[in-house]
Amino acid sequence: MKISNLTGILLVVMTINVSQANDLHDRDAFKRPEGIPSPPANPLTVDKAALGKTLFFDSRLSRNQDMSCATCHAPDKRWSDGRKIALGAEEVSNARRTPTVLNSAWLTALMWDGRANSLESQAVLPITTAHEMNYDLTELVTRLQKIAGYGPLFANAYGDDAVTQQRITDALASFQRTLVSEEAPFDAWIAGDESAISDAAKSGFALFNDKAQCAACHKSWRFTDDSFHDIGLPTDDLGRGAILPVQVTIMQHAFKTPSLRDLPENGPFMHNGSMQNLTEVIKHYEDGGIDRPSLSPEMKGFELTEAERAQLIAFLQTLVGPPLQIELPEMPQ
Amino acid sequence: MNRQKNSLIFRPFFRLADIKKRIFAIVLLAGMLFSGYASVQAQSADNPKTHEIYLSHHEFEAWTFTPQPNDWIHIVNHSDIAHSIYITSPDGSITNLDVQLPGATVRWQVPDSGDYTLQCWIHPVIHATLSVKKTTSLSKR
Repeated sequence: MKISNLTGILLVVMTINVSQANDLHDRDAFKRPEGIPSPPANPLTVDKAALGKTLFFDSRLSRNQDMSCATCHAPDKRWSDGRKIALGAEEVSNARRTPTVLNSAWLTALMWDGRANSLESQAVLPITTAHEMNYDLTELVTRLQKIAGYGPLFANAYGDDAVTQQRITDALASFQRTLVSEEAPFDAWIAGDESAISDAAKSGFALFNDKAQCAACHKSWRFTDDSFHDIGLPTDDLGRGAILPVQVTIMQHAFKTPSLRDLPENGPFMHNGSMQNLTEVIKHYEDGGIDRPSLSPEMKGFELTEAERAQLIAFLQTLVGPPLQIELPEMPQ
Repeated sequence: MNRQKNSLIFRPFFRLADIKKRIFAIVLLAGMLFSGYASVQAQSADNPKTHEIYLSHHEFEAWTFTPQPNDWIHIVNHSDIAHSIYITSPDGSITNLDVQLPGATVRWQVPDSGDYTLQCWIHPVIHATLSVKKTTSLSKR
């Protein structure tokens, strides 16, 4: 065998090895974590999560006793509500869509504008917001103290039956941490099962990372960077810009990158629920959005063929696992 | 030759003249060292140093230097996404370094000693503390 032929074969083998190494490296970046994280100040326990689950489904947490957390974060709606904008927000200017609470244990910034930095601090917001549960935490403590059935639940979770604001929000946060997306076909493929997703989906994954550059923001196993970007949607809502100094131009109209796991088939999508299908969403990114000073530098625009759009959607559908179903709690009396 | 060598070897070590010479040498050496050090300190204050901090995708790469007031910090974006770093001073005031595209460098001069918090407007997960300390000067001034 000639030396030049041998060199050629060696180069091909080396290229294949490098390609496989890159592929494996890319897959590792999307691997699911082993466990659920919780902060040292509020370690996750079974009893605390059980109390939190009961509170989550209890409409007595709202002033009129007609709305629970689960009203807008419903198990049969992928832990959102399927509505374009949140229930009760029809009269609210710049109302936003209800985000899912799935996989929120890993969030470092909560709400579309990131105004809460932990599940514990976030739990207060819907309870006290006027167009949501519209209640007062002090009054809520008094109301729950009068429900005898809550005593044993608080005692199991905390060692005694005292009802406090912090115990309520800690328990709600603990329950929400247990809401993790079920394994999807994509996870099986990441774990090494080559037949778990179609060739079209694999091509879509390549487009997602390369040509369409979705992975610039939709990163990790949750497909979000927990960060804020103006993606150039027509909106008056300043998003994160409304809570930051006006000089921070880049945060005007910026909203948190949502996870792409368990997307509902027909949306609604975007922070304002303005899009109803994934083709519409992809075309928006192809167009690059409204050109304004706050537009994210990652919004570069690109062009896909009809077939490529279908591949990208095929890939996104592999992120949908079975619905996370739970047994509904009995309401304490 | 040999005799001379031997006489050197067996010469008493603690002769008074030798001790004086050694003390003089030590004082001279110490003087040179300290004057040199003072000169370095003076040079640092007049000519601030430049330190580089590298930004990867979602974190600052670890650094080992401790800057002094008036030094320059160059933040180099090694990632392929844009960042927008801001610095919170010990008094709570904020310095905005604006949007930083991939490959770009932004510059900031440290005003005084203290702990400064470096964060990104776009990616709140990017977070680090930069400690600035005035080095104790051995200068005669």
